Amino acid sequence: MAYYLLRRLVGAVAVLFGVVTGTFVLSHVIPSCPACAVAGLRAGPEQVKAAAHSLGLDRPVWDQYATYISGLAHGDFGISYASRQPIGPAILSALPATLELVFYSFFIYAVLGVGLGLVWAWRDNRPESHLIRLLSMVGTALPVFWFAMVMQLWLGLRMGWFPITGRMQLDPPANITGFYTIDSLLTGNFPAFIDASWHLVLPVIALVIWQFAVAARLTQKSVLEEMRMPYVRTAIAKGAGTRRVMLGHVFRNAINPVITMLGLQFGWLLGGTVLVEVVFSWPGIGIYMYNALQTFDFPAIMAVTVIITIGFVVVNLIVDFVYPIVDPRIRALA
Amino acid sequence: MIADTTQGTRVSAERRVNAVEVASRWWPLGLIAIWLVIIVVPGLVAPQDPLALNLQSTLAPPSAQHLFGTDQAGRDLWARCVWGVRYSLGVSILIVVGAATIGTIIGGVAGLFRGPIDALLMRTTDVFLAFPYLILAIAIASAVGPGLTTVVVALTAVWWPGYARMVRGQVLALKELPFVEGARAAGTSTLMILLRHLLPHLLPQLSARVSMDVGYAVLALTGLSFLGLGAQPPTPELGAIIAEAHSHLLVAWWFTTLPGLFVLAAVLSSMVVSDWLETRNKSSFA
Repeated sequence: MAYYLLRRLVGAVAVLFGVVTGTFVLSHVIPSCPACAVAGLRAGPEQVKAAAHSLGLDRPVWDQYATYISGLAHGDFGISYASRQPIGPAILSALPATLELVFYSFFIYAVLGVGLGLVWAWRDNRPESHLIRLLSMVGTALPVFWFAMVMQLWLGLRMGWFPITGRMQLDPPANITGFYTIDSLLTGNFPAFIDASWHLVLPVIALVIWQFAVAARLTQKSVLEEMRMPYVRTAIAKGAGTRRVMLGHVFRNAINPVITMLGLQFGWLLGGTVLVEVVFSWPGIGIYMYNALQTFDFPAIMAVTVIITIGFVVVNLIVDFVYPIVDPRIRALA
Repeated sequence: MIADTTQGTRVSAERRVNAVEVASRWWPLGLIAIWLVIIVVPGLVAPQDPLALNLQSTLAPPSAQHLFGTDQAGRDLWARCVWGVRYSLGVSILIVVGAATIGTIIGGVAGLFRGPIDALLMRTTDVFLAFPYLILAIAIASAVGPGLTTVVVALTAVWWPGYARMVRGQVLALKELPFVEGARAAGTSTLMILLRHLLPHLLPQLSARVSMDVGYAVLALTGLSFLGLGAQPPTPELGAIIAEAHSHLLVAWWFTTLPGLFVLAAVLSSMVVSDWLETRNKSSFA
């Protein structure tokens, strides 16, 4: 058991290290002249040299690498080329907006995806299953940024049902968790809660539609496979009802691969949120990355990449730790 | 005489049944053909010039003259979307075929030789696969500088490990089979074993996956272009067109709404073709 968890932990650290090294190579080695980007378009060679010196870009690559790693270890993401401000605090203040969006999307999408997948397998070859199949195909094929814009246009602008940009129209509630919906409830500010929830609807729908199909398809496949097992026939022969067989026997055994995949998808959600945040001007790390892209602000771009990787690795580590709790077979094996 | 005519009708009826049967079995090929025609000769479907400015009719709604309306520079949106298929779908096909080729070679070599190459490859693919590819592609594209070539490099870089993994697994299973041993005993070189004996067994699964991934690549590529990392204006690429549309959300519904339908159609087609290939694989093995 301890060995199993230790192996997962080492693997996670290796992935983190790989990505950190990769981002270093991408931001310090590949760009033809990062100092030119900082110094600006009209800078002469002298100014470029000065900019390179102030950023430490004239030191040997290994020295820069060591500085980068030790900085990251201290939570220091370096200085933004564009704003000349430290990147860490800027990302930290944008993070709650993204997390709020991603958490709600993840929750809805997990319940919806697994639920629909179960129905899909349960009602195999009936109209319901065909409808879910169609829905999941279209959901997967939708370009998320386009669908977000179409909703913004038709449900927001034209119908006026939903706000089209930002997190909130009223004054944001006192900062406790950074989640506007939770903070407003904690402070008893009910109008703010409604306002914040209302702003979440369209971005969350966009992310959920984009992702639920993956969970639904995997659940369906896994459940169908499990339904062919002999123990299912035995259970039915012993007189257990369909509901009991499906939920008590099949579902419990089929859920494992789905849990792994949900962990991976949390990372994809973090990636997809960049596109959705841009459409809805959602003030999270996605918009921060987008703005950094416009100014070739490499340290900022790489910082967001590292942050998202950390989130992704941590979530997958949690999944690895949840596994043995859900499934006694893994506990026995490990 | 009479007997002859009845026989004649029966034959033609049979022929008709056959035609229906053939069509129902092979229609995804027609789908592929339509997209290929659009990619190769977009002018056939959209006679107008996708780059021709017309400042007299900017942001004109759809009409008989401009099926999809016009954009902020008065360019015909239908023509831009049709040409956009070349840049979005066409380039995606290149990306996925490239990634599949690289992945097959590396995965095949790793599977055949095992040892340190194999271990190194597996660790590398671990890092790649354990990562949201969109973010990685953004990081690579931003470092190399925006442009269509950049996106091709970035997406190929994040896509090949999946193929390497898949091919390695299959090669590991296949190389234990007697026919490989036979070929080896006959003195066939490793490269020839991979190309002549193993590749034909890999192709059915590879083709289904490639076709599915083309759709995902279209989504990734248009997404990167939407963020400004891909095709630069005035190239009519679907993601870039949709990005331009965002600043005209208030005034031009067609600009926002219609180009995305092309992306949707392209991705759906790739899924249909992939499904079709997969069922064909299954039935031919059963």
